[in-house]
Amino acid sequence: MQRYLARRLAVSVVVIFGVTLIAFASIQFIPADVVDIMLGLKSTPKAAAALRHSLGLDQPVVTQYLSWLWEALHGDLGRSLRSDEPILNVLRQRLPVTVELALLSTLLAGAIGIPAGIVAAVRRYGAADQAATIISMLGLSIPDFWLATLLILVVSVAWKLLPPGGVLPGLLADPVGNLKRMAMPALSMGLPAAAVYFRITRSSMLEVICSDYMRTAYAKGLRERRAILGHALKNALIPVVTMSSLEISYMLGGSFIIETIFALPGLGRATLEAIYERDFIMLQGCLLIYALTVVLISIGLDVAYAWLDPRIRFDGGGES
Amino acid sequence: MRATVTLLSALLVMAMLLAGCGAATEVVAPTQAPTSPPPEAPTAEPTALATGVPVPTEVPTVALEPTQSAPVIKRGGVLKIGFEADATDLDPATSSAAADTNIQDLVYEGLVKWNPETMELEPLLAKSWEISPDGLTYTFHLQEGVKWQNGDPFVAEDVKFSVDRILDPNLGSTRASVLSSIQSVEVVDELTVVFALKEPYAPLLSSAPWTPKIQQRKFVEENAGKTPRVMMGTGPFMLKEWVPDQVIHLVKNPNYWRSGADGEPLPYLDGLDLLISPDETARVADFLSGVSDMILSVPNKDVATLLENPSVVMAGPESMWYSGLFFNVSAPPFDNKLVRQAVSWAIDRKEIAEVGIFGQVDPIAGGPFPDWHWAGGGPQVYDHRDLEKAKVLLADAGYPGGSGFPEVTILAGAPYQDEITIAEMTAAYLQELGISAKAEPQEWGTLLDNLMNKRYTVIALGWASAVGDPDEVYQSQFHSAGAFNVSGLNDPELDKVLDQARSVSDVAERSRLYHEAEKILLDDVPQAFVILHREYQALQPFVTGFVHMPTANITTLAETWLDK
Repeated sequence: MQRYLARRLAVSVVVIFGVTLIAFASIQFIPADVVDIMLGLKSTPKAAAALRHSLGLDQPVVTQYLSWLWEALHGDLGRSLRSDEPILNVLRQRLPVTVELALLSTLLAGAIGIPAGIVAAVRRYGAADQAATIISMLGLSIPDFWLATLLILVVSVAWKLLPPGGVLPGLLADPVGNLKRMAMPALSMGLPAAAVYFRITRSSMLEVICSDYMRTAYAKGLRERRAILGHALKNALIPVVTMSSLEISYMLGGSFIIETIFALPGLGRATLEAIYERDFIMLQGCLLIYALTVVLISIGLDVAYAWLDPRIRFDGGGES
Repeated sequence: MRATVTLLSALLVMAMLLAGCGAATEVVAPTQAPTSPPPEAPTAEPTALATGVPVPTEVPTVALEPTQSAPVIKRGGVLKIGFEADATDLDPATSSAAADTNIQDLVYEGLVKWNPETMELEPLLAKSWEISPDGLTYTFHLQEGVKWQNGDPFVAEDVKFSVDRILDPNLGSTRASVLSSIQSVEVVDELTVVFALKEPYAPLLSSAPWTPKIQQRKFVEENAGKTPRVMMGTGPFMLKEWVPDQVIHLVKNPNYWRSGADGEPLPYLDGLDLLISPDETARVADFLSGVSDMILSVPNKDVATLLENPSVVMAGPESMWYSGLFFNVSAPPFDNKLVRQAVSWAIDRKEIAEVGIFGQVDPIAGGPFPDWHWAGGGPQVYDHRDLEKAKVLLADAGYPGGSGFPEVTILAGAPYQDEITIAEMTAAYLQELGISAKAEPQEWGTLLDNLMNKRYTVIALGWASAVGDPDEVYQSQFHSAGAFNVSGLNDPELDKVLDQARSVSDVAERSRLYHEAEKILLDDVPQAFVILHREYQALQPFVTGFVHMPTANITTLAETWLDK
């Protein structure tokens, strides 16, 4: 297991830095640079040249990336070209917000989707199953930003229940205030995701329930529905775990729309703005952290497979 | 049975959806009639003054009943304002973005300020001044008793430092052009400073509320390299904390030198919280649900609803922001004046304003200065659309019926919906001329790049004047040596008129010269001026004393208080 982890991590490091190289190269290829954005319509050649020099942008491109890489490997991710903030500070403040949003959304999605999927599978083709399937179609089709806007109009403006904006209090400092701010964003991302969890759980459960070994268990007298579910569920959850790894990665990367709408100071918004502002130092830092987070989650879930499915081994036998 | 259940479930779901839609269209019902007095309404007749500043004739839009006598001012409280974008550079010597300028206006001060109701120049850090008859020497007598927020006294040396810093080529400030006529700054004594100019430059004083903002040498040098993120001025508010992308906390300056109507130092408020909320819908929702007490730049689509809402006070609508079609005159096909004129006659400015942009903007028939401005009221050429004339002009240019005319791509910047609408409607009008045209919204950075490198034929773009002086608008864009002459115009006759207009100080004479310049511009059409935007701020009824200014300044927050 240790060898497997070591191998995974080694490959991941290459992947993570490869991502930053792609980010850097992309910014160089698209029109306009950070100085153009900062000075805007009122730019003059003199001002632009002075600013480029002070930001080190007049150096050769390769030098710029390699010097960033060298510093990054020593733990210094540099300072934002746009705001001069140390990138590590930005990441330290922003990452927890995005992670909290992704986790809350996943919890919500799982808490709604998985039990609904189980019930629908067990009482398949019944009234509950039909209704849930139709609702899940809605969930799959509704875009999260549309749901976000709808929630704002109904919950914040009409009902005045939850604030759509304002400062985000720290989770430890003011848990109630924090959750009140995060409730609508988490719903906006979680409800559509719940539909995915529901469908995967349902189909996976159905497959397991109808399988030979389950029929054998019934035949042998194991009638307790709960005991069966205890067996069946563990196996049925394997595809759900796979799905959740993808879903969490999607939520981490796709949260920028929700973060922008709800004015959450998260990593997604910072990444999006870095692209608009051509702030490649910030972009590289953000994508490095994203890649790292996704890699860690992916490795963690692969390890979780071993617990779920004893057939899976890390040395040669099971591939993941 | 199964089919019936499915059908019933589907109907149930539909019903829930429709009910949800119904709830979503409810707007907040007003709960009480506002009781506080409305923002100040100017009633003075417009007069152009020696210092040549615009005088609005329109009354800011207000929907409340006036009160008989001035109410008792209540001090204290924190005003929460919804801000569209985060600040990026809080150094008033280098920044140019509107979000930055708004914040700098609250912490830093210039030598003079605008009277919020009449836009006349009034003393601020300079309590009086004299201009020599030849226009080359400006002597400023500075206000005594002013303290920096760090406690140091404000002295003439601070003014010299600020001007020299902006003009320093190593700083590369985009504000340098406004001060470029200054040869030298001399400190005569602690409270007297003299500007010696290379040539007379009338707009120097009218730009002074914006640039230079006075900074202290000690503070700037101590914070070298950090100046975009720290602020220390002589103004009514101080920067307490900047949480990036979230909120900027400003607190009152306890040593501020100006006093309010109650004889105590300004400001009345304890502080300001600038809440950063980039999404329009969320920002307006914040305001309607009470998270913020005020928003700047109300989005066009919400203006009509908020104007009708009796529990919302709207301040506005004068602005100095126009949009139009910017032609590249140094490359075909728009290097031909007849073609540009044809386009200007082919577009229907009234339709664009009233239909395309829902009547939320005003069409421009002449130059981009509104009637209440001293430079406004010039020749009004394009007050109607003339498609036949456009066709004749196009034929004279060598493209009868549009034949032989290359396909036109009208660029527009993605965040600016009004300009995208102008581009799209212009494309339709060009089709009527037989020209194949399409609108192309582009991401802002890409658009800037194309604009700066002249990789365009026509762009739908806007220009917001920071100081409201026609020199800023005309000289920088249309003079052959203008700093922002992106269209590539080179007209010696126009250059002569603009040079003259910036060197005389008599407002009536300047107005006449700018009308002459407009005649040339309306004939030459390097830009087709299309619409003038309206700017509104939305306020909760208890926010009292705020006055809308056409340059979109929020400096009257120093005299704003909360009636609750």
